[in-house]
Amino acid sequence: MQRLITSVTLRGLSGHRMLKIATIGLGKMGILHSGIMNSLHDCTVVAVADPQPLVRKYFSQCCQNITCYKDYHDLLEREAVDIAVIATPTFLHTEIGRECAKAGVSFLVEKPLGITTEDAWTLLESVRGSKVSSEVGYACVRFGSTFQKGYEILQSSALGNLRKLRASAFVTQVTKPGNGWQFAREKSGGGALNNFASHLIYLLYWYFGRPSNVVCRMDSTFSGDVEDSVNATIHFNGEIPVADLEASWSAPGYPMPQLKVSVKGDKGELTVTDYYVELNLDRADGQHPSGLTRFFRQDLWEGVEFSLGGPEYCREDKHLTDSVRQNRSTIVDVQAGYEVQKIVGAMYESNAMRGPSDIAW
Amino acid sequence: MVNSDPIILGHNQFIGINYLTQEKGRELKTAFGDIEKVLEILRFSIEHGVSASMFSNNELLKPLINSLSREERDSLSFYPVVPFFQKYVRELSSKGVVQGALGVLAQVRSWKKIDLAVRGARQLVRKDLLSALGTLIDVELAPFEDVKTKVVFLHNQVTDLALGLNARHVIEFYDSYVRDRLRLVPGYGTDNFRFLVDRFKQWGIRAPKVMAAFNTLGFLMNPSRESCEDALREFDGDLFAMSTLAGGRLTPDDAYEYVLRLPRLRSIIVGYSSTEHGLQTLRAINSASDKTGSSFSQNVKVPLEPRLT
Repeated sequence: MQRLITSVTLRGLSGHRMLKIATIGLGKMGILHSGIMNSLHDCTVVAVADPQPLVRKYFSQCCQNITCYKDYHDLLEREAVDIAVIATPTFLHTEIGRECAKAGVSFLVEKPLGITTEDAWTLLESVRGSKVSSEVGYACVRFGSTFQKGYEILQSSALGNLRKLRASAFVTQVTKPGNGWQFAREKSGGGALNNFASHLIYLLYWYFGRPSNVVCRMDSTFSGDVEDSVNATIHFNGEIPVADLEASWSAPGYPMPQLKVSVKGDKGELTVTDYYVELNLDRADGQHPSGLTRFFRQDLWEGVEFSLGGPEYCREDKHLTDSVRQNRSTIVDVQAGYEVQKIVGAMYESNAMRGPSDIAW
Repeated sequence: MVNSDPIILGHNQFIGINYLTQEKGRELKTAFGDIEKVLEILRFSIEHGVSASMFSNNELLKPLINSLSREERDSLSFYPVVPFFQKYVRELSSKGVVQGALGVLAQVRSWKKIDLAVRGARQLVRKDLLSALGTLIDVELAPFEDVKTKVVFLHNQVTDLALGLNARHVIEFYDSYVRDRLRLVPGYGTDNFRFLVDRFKQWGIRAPKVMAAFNTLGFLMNPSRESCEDALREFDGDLFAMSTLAGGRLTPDDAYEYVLRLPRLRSIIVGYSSTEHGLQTLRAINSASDKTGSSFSQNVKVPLEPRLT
């Protein structure tokens, strides 16, 4: 009888092994991922860790079956978890990721991977020496329906040779001086670029590959220690044109973040945003008609098992749990996170040197 | 039994939420920054038989209520959505969970609800989650105290978080707080209708009032349109259908026949940003009502021919 109960406990409705999840860091993203992970078939959140007593108390009052820890070391030591969601301030990402890898716990780490390229490298080394699956929080971009559509179009011959590339990331988030960890460089690794526009850097990296050189200028309007806005040119190898990039977390009129990539080719133009994809072709190409075609999120909509904060987060979490079950890597793993960090690092270097910064791969 | 209004005017357009583009959202927010423009849409609605409006405690609400005549206040019913989620997300993003909640309460001090803010802050520090939640509900509902209030909907992201975390007692607390303490009717927004129906059944929550997306594109219907329609057939509560135009991707003429054929439909939440669009919407509901043989739009008064105001 005991064996039967154990068997039922360990296997969920679909016959998969029940995955035990832990969340480290109970801020907005930690709570969001906890809600999604706990709702997925064959997954259950068993423990969380956060150093703030009040947050722990509230969470334990809210979720009485989930064990709360002050110190994530204790959680990893006492709980046999399969996956940890690391949603702490940036400076703790790599340290906790390394401990997870050491403990054989697969993990989703929120973006950005670290505060510097060197910091991110330490995690990459740990993961390479382990058997864990890893995923970096850029996966929500990777699983966004409009960004996927944009990728599909770029993979086709619709635009012909690419001639011009522009990219922007705007949100209205910082409109006065702040004093949280985001505004302390040693804890955040930077401002608008590292902690917001790195999503856009990931998008460019996914779409166009590894750049060879960057030139970057940053400005601070409200934040003393970190940048509020970024202007850059990113040079890619081969036939990809130079990308002009602009980003700010203090842009008025963007209650929701907006990433935008515009590509001009010999045969037409493509614009991709979180909300829509716009393709304007001089002549028809395969499945794409000539003239203007718009794909909105509604047209590309596919439901998910449980939506919280948008379907892309569920796809992100599901991709990790599937990868863990199949003992494989994710499509946005620590290697990808490290390479994005390397590009971001070169941008900070360029700004500091007031000149171009080469990126060696 | 609550006499729910069959058509409820939603507020997304007034606060700049647009599912097509952020540019359009910005345009709308700028346009409706002038409270007279919001009043124009509300007055148009009342004049055409739509006497219900859904609102959260956003920056427009208080000046809007203050601008309504006594007669307009008497004829209009409000369906609050709590909390005003964007405000909390903003605070949480920049300050963290506890400081974020305190930050929201601090903003309340700028007007007469100082006692609520102090009570909430004290309870937050005393670490009593449910009492603090009660106070946050009071804070969110405070501007509605002088108007007719019907169903109080828990914001879809909050309902869904409670569902995902399996926080049954939080939902039960909300239900009893709104029902027993405030003497109002609780309702639930969700983007996970199938999940909610299953979980509420499991928790023994009977005949809930649920606001969820239903449209022919399946937009915001999780895990799928078919699954949500199946769940609706098992549902024992009242459906308040939202996103019926799939966030602006369907025309009113294409949308409402499907919606009016849905079982358990109690109300449709509509969103129009001009009187012209309002007329088109109400006319489409009338027409779909005729085709489906429902009496859904019996109170709606629209002229036969387009009359631009």
